[in-house]
Amino acid sequence: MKCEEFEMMIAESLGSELAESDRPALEAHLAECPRCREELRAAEGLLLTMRSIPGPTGQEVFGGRPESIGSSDPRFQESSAWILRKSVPLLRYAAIILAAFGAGYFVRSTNVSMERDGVDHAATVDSIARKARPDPDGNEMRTFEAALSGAYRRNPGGSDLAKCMRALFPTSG
Amino acid sequence: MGDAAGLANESFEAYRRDVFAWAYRLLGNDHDADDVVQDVYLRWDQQCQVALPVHARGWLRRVTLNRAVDVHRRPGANSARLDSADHCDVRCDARRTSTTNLRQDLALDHAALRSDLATAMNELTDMQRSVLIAKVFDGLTFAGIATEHGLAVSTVKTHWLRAVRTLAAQLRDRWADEIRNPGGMSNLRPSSSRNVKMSHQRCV
Repeated sequence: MKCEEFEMMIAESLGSELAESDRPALEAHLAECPRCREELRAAEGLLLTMRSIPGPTGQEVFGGRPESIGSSDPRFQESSAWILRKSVPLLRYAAIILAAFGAGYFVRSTNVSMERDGVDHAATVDSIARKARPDPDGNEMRTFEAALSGAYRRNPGGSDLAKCMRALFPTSG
Repeated sequence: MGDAAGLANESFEAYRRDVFAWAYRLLGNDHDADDVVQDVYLRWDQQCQVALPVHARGWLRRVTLNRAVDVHRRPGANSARLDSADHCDVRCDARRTSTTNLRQDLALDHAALRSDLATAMNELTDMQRSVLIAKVFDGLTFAGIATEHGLAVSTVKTHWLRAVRTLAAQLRDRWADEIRNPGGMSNLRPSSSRNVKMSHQRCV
């Protein structure tokens, strides 16, 4: 028989799955074929050496914990921390840009809504100011409503927050 | 979409330890093996968006081994191993009396063998790698491997024989001592890697 006909038997022998019925035939061939004998011997040595390479210990294979990726496993926590460290500057820039857009949108929407709803805000503010109770010294800006209406009249385009701040903490300017 | 991601994560959990173990066999350290696990998870997640692989374990083994071989080729990974070999001199003074150092030498031998194996596995096809690892390290039968990969048993045997022959040809010189004297690792003979051999020769 030719060597090629014993290839499957050699493969089975290397995989420790050679049928007992095939063993005599293979051994007879190996006895008379130095090339196959040498190949089998070298391959067995190779596989034995491969098997001597240790795998991970139980502790290394996540200590048998069943948690999912990104959960309490320290290795994944470490990875998450690394990702977080790397992404903090990016997140900071994103937050600044978002805040700037948000502020712009807020100011714009306030002005737009005041223009759209058709309410005469100036008249409302004047009426509030008229109702405001003057203090004994004749100063009109004693109540919050009166202060707010004054701030609004001075700067009708400003945001509500800015008007409130000006009313609460008036400056000389 | 969320369900698909959940399903991908859940199904990956069943194989995560195997993926780690396959990567560790070639890379020998948990940091690199973890990198491979995460990469494989991302590939798995992408694949699951399309369809769950029919032969999930076989698919994962192939992808893991490919990725592990890629990681091994990274310059940083190789230099780290060589560094550990070069530090042999530092340990030489105490090595003859210390059991710890004997263990370190054995670990160095294993690191060299792993490195040789990972390098030689470059020459194998995806399927040959997978069949080889399944047979040698997972201890599966040919029939079991055939089931995992959706192949015929005879095809698996062919992949197996070709993988062993290719590796034997690749490692004939580097593993000459081990192949001539299989199982002799415990005698702490000089390691297979040429770099490590040189280090040991300086030490003795």
